[in-house]
Amino acid sequence: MAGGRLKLKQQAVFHPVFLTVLKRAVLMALVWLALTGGDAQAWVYGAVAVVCATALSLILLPAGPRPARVLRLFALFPGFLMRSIVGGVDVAWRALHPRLPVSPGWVSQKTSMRDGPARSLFGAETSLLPGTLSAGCDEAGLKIHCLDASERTQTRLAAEEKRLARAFSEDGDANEEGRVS
Amino acid sequence: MSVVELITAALLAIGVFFYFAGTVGILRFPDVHSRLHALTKADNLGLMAIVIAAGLHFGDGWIAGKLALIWLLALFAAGMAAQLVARAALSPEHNA
Repeated sequence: MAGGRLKLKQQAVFHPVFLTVLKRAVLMALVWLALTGGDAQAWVYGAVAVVCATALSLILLPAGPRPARVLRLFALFPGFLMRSIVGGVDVAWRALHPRLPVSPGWVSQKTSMRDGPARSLFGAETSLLPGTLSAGCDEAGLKIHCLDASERTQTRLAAEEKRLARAFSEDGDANEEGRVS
Repeated sequence: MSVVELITAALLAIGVFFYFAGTVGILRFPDVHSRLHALTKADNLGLMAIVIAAGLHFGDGWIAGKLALIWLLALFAAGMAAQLVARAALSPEHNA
């Protein structure tokens, strides 16, 4: 009985919306910290700015049912960085190559991501990865423009999507639909 | 020239090279979408190199943090803007 009550209490404390607000406030505070160069006196204004920025962010992008998992997103960053460097080198090589080795084409990428921040972020990410560029989506899936249209690109995209989906609580929660959020 | 100055100069050169390559891509690639590839990816890498060079030059953690913030925001904006331009530039048959 005691264990059950404790669990209930924890759920109340770590309410998803509360967590989202907290995460965003911490993010804004970090931005303020960077902007002011760690000036302690600036925190008087910083507190007001952080509250206002967090409120604005909640108006512009209300807390969704599938919150971002900050640590997992963070863990994805080094890999993304490496692949985006490869992307830049790849496109620079193609641009400067005398014979211009590009064969542009479109790929329709089926996606399990629902519309929202995760899918927008996935689109932005693909635009920085080697050879791919997202152009929104239709019923068939995401419309991806490829500098070099081949199957390799599609398998790579699928892997990338899976990684990002995990960071957005979009995986393995099929029963989430039934839950009232 | 100290080692740090040499690395800074090399990073600046790399950054300029990628901006140059991106611009060449915009001029040489055959269509709007291919040109967007060049713009987003090469410029992102160019900015990354120049931001690291500037961070090394100033040698200050807080300035480095500010520069990293600039790069992150530019990265985010480039990815989102590329998507929006790509969608706006779709030909009618793609919109069907």
